[in-house]
Amino acid sequence: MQTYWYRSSARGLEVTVSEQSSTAPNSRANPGELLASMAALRRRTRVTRHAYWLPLLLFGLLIAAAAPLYVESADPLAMRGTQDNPALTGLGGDFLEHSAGLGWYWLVALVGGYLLTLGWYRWHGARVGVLTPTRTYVLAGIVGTLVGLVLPIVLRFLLLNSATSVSSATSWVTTPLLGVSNRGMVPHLVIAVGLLVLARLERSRVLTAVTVCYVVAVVLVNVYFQTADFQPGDLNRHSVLLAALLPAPILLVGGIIALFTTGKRST
Amino acid sequence: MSTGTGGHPTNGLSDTVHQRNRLGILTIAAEAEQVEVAYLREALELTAGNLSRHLAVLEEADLIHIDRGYHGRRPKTWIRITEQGQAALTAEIDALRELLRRHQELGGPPQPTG
Repeated sequence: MQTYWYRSSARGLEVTVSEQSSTAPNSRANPGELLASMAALRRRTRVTRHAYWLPLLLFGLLIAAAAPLYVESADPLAMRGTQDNPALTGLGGDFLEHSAGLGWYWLVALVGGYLLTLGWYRWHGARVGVLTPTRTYVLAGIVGTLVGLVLPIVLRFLLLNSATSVSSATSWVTTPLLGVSNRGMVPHLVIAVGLLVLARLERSRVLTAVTVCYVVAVVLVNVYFQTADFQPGDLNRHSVLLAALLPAPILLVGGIIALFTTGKRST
Repeated sequence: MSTGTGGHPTNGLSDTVHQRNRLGILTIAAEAEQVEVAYLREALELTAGNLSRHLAVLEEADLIHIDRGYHGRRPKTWIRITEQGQAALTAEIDALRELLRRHQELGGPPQPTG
């Protein structure tokens, strides 16, 4: 470990570094070295407060645990009529067989997941002595969940009930988003928003990289479904399940790697 | 707190902020929502009394806010950087960067001639 001692003198700025590490500079330093020592303190503090392995593992597991609700009991038709589910189940879409159950599951899982993560960061911060500002993260998660609930209603209104000019002008965004919603994958987007905000708050390149990979997987899966011209019989009872599960391993692997690297640092 | 404006970059250095330990405290505090005093003591290798004196100076200058409380039965003191503290730290870093730029300009290798 290095300790940096700063002082100003008539000749300018100097910093003396105590020699507890063989790599530490042993002489008075210029402003560049002073700035570097401040950067080292920032890095050390950042590493101490990093605790993102838990939200990665938690949301990866929550996606995996939703798997049974994405399985259809029979090969789905190319198009199924919409169901009349309660508004609070909007997160499950309404084209899937278990849309209502999926909607309730995700409502509880997302709200619970974000609150659990908040508690985790408070506990970890109190333990290590450095608190990460997580208010924006939880706010993004809760607002994202609420937006996810009303999104299908708004999209359907824009697409089907608004003036033709509005409907055709917005169809480039409403149609693919409604596809995402119908496949019950809006919760995946809510998770992505939360993790992107968390990556910003944690100032972690690793978390940013894992989240970007996850977002890319979610987008690619949905682009495939949107662009493929599926005919009746093309989809089987596990097609939507595969689409929904595909991004989960990215979060799980990222979380496990983060957990082991955190463990190594603390020993 | 003396904060210079304009002229030589050293005029941008604040006596309150520039002191080595206080600069370290502000640098760490700016990285988190709150930092516990025990963490600062360990990271900066200061004695409790020494750290307490520096925290008092920073609090007096409204650069940090100190929350004294308990975690179970154990007393815990947390510090939080204020907006003024954040601004003062940014000004200090800007001044250091400007000093570095001038230092590099003056001390750079001679330009080839001919």
